[in-house]
Amino acid sequence: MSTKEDVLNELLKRLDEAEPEGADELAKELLEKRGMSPVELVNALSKKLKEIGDKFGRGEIFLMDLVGSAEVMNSVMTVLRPALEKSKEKAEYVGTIVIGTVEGDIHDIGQRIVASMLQAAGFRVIQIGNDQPPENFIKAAEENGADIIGASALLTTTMPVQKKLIEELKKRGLRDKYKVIVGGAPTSPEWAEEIGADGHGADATEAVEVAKRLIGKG
Amino acid sequence: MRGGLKGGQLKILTNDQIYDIHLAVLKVLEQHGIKIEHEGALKLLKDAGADVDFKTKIAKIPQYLVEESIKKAPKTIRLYGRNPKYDFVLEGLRTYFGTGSGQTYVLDLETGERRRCTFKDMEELTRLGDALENIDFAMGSGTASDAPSGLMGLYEEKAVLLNTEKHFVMYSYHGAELTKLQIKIAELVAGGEEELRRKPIVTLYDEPQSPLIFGRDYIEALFEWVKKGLPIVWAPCTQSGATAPVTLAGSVVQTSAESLGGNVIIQLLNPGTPFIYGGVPLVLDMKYAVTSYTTASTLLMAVMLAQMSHYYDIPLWGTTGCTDSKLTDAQAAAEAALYIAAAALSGQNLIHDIGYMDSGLLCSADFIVICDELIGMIKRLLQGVEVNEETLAVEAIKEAGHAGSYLSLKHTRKLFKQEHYLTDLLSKSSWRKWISEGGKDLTKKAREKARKILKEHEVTPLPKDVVDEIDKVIKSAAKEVVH
Ligand code: B12
Repeated sequence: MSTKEDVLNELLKRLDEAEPEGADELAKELLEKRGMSPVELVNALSKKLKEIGDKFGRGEIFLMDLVGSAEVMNSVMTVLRPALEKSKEKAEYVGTIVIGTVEGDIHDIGQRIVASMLQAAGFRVIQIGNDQPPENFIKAAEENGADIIGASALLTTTMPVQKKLIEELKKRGLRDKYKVIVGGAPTSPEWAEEIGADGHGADATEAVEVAKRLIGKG
Repeated sequence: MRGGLKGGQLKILTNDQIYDIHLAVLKVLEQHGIKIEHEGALKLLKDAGADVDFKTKIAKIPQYLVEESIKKAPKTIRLYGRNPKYDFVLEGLRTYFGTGSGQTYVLDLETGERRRCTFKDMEELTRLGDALENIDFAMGSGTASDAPSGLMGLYEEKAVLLNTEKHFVMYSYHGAELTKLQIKIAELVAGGEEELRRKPIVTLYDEPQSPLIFGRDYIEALFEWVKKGLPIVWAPCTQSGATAPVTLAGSVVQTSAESLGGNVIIQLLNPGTPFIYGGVPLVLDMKYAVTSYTTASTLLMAVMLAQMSHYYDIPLWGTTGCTDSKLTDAQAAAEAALYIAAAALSGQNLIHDIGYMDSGLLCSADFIVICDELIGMIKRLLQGVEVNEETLAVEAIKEAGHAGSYLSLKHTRKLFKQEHYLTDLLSKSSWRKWISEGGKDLTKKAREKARKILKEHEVTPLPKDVVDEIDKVIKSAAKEVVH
């Protein structure tokens, strides 16, 4: 007979090996038959994903391994989310971040990598996709009770939209409610300062460091 | 008129493999299709017989449409400079080299500092390319980050058309409106709509969005450009492992499908429009999460694409002269040399991106100068050897005699220049002479050459009224386009 620990380990192994096959069923089994609370399960998964993220940081595994693991996490989360919403306990997220690429810009590879890394670092990540106007960042932040908004711009021509986002937040009286971090190849710490953003991340690792620091978890 | 030397000596695919790739391309287009965010293009394809779903915007393109459009694309394309001595003909195995555009940063020529690139940098880098012997065409090296953001495309066009007499391959930045203005400026310089069509001094570089999406803005730009019958590059920047399969063959299949899918629209819109096939083969570095331009894989894919273009008999948009190094160092020169050799020897045609550094984010004058030097050497390779009575030199061997010297032979004096290529900057002198000349490394010499060119080289200016008109277009656009 397999124990609860056996099933959990089996699921964590799926995460480790970026193997989605059967992960949903294992999660369901843990919740429905093994009496694991959804929060307990999310925390166990997040811890594992963090280990995986750290391995990537140390160069022990490759990007596709990390992204693959994050994808497994995503698919398990679809099973977990309804249970979590019903549950009274709160999952121990480091924080919630809305991330997307700004309007007029369709470069989204970097932003997706940042999302995976943040997830691996224990954040709840709301991805809104590319070509997104400031309104959509704000709407997603409001709906999800986010702590941080992250905006990516890869073109010199779309960097000004990051500025617009900040102006829009000010206009709506929401500037102090969210930390804003910006990124993307042509952006820089100086640009972030110029437009009044709270932080800048040159790559995914720095994005995580900055995000944590901004909400006092770094 | 410039003659491009013929490459094509380097092949890695067998005929059978080329055919397999082609069949896979047809399958992707017919079975999986392309998502096209443009009603007009979808209608065009539907009317021509494609299986179009207007809800999902996916067009599945049957094989015969792809094949027909390949046949309709011209096999030889003449591109013009504003000075006729720079005209050239793209065809078959002929190779031509040009710079690359859009880098955000530049290494300052005086201080070596990495800083944001400006309009003035674009002007200078273009003028440098105009002077360099082995650069056949220009792109807008760098980015005018000091220009209003919505007008970048127009500032790029101005920087280049004013500062080179060579052919210009121009970025499509966004949408129909901007493209119309880009065309207007090109017509001003060419001397009118008809003149530009007859002698296109500008080619548009427009892109699909991998995997398998044709974005609205970029198809709008394509429509404006192709309606005028002007030459167009439709080529994706596929990143193997991220926006294209991790396998090299799979990446080439997807790149080809995206490029040839665009050609179907182009040839339906305006049959016979000069279309340049290809893609920029990139990989996503799985260790650092950064785009790589120059790896063994990108070189292999570049050679594969060249072979595919020869199979289709459509000129290729080639890539070369790139490095992922952050400065003009040994890595930069080594990567550029390997890439230039691969691009030239595989017989790519319109070969761009000379001067791309740090994943396409950085440019520098000294690196462009070094690439020019390397291309000179590779060109000698492409010339190959002549084997005839005179070059076999049996008579000369006899004449020199046992233990004799060839230095004094007329044969040597007569044939030296034909046989041996002399480089300009690469150090070939003795140690003593090198020291006496300052003991400078290649980068330092390249920097000095760049400074000298920028001090001395002049480009025939455009007539003042034309420049005024260009400025008027930009000024009026400042009111409309900026968003
Ligand atoms: C791939 C690519 C494309 C693909 C994009 C596909 C996709 N799905 O994303 C396609 C072909 C569609 C494309 C199109 C264009 N592109 Co493009 N593209 C690139 C390229 C080669 C790589 C981008 C990439 O994926 N990098 C890899 C990722 C992992 O890195 P990254 O995005 O920088 O992200 C990292 C960091 O920046 C940071 N980060 C990113 N986002 C965020 C967000 C936050 C909050 C934080 C904290 C951190 C952070 O962390 C990430 C991970 O480490 C770049 C060159 C380059 N090296 O950037 C040009 C580049 C960005 N493109 C450029 C241009 C000009 C264009 C086009 C206008 C060209 C055209 N004529 O068609 C169009 C514009 C389309 C549009 N409207 O957006 C220029 C920009 C020039 C400029 N100065 O503005 C570049 C620099 C190339 C060049 N030299 O010309 N492009």
